Amino acid sequence: MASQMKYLLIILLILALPGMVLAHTGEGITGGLMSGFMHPIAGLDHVTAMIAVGILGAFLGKPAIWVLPVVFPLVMAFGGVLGLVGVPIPFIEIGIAVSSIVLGLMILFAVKFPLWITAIIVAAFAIFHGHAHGTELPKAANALSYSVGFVVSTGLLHLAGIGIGELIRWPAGQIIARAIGGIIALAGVGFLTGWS
Amino acid sequence: MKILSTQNLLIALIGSLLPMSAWAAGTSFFMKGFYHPTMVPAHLLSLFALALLMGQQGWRNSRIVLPLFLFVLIASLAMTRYQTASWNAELILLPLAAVTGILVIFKWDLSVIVPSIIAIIAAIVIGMDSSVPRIPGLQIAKIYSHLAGSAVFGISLLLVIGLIALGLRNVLDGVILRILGAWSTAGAVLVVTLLLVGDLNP
Amino acid sequence: MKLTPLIKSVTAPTLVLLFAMQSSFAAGFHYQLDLTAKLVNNPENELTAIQMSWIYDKELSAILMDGEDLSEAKREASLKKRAADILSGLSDVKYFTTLLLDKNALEFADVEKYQLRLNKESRLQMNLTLPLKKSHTLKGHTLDIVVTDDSAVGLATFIDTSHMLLGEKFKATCKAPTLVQKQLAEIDGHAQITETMTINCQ
Repeated sequence: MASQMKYLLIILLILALPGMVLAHTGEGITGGLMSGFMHPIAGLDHVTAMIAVGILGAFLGKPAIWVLPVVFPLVMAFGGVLGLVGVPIPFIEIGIAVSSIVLGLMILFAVKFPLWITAIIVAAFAIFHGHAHGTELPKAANALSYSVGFVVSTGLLHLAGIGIGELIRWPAGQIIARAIGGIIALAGVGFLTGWS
Repeated sequence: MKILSTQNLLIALIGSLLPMSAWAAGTSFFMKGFYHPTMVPAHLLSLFALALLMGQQGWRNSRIVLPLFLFVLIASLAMTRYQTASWNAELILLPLAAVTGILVIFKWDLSVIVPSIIAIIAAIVIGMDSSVPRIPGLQIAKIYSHLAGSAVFGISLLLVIGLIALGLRNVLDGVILRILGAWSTAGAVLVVTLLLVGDLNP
Repeated sequence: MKLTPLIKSVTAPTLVLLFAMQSSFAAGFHYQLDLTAKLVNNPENELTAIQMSWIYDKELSAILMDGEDLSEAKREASLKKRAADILSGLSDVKYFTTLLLDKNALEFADVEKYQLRLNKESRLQMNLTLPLKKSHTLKGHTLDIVVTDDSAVGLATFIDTSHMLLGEKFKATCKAPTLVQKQLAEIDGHAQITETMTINCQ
């Protein structure tokens, strides 16, 4: 199991490399991929929520470890669809900020709701994130590359979160993971109050 | 660790291919054909999702799906010499990738028929959408090199990702493949919506 | 060797290679043909043909002559052989050209006079005379010469109006040509550009 974890972490590190895509001029397909990839990463409010979902999944164990990081992109896509077809969702930025607060607090206090409740909470927040990404899609030079880019970076952030969450196997790791949850919640407060 | 261990040799072999990546794009029509699918994200996404499904389902299904895909892909590529497809490949491949991603998420034990059907559809659409750039006077050998390159890329991607998926299918309850499947579905759904919305509001 | 360690050995370097390969993804093949055209008239001052000189870009020139013997002794024979192939290809795409007289398309006859040469810059130059099935009076009419590659792989371009030669007779009766370039569509990431050279003889 330990070697499997090491292997997983190596994979995560490799996947997290920005890759040679950075070498490109930013036009066409690779430009769309890069701007899509950077969109969640460039927004700290997105980063914190994605990582929180991964940590939460690891905290809750099977099957949450795969259910939550799967529910998030799927419902995020739905939110994106709503954004694309022009269905307005009020208070998008507030919803995104609150997602960091709620998910961060759940990690900090090791709250273990039943899976279906956690999934609904994650899904609800995913709509806000997805709507924000979806409204950017039509402006992207290459929409498919853009959407693949941001879905990939979202997934990578989830995986990074899972990696952090897996630290709970060790006592010190539990403290670290919960502390990160606290930081995420604080960051959410910052986003809500306009600090970023 | 032995210097000449199999692992190190494999790393060295694959690493030695790295310089090819800098040379490849423009020196031969085989390589142009090889990299052609990389410029069509819908091809990549559908192949990626199919490879995940194949690997997740295990060798039992893969040993049938893989040669089936190769056979149909080669036939479809050859057809591009005589016929062009009038369908919109993206509107077929993206929903296909979305459905395949969902199958990966749920990790059901599927009969060979389901991945086979997906493979056949993907192979036909990708093949027919991979015609050689029309250049008046281009030599026949170059045309077939280009087509061969596309076929090699398609089957290679399926093999490599499928092998990786095979190894990862039970790691942490298959979370990595399931997340990757969710990526495929999410990305595909978004772009199909964009394409359809774009058609409705040109 | 067991499958799982093999898969593990392959995974990491493969992923690195896949990421590295991205850096050299070609943007899809694209070429440019520079066109110079001259109107051909009969003694009655009717338009009978259009002489065209297509100059291929260096990369395409190298591709089309790849594998041919271009030594002093064999050069002419090689060029003659390839000229027939290239002309056949150009004929399939209707020479990328449409002639419109007062917006009505004119029909071409078969090309009989053509020559392929290699210029000092190692660029292929295809000179051909595109005859009309029927001769037409230009005086009192407007002639549009529209050049486009509808696959968008090639860019057929006059570059500017100095590449449109009217000849002495037509110069006296027609205004100076004007050139308009438009983007019609985007196909597989390539822009389909159309150029219309208008000769107003009204």
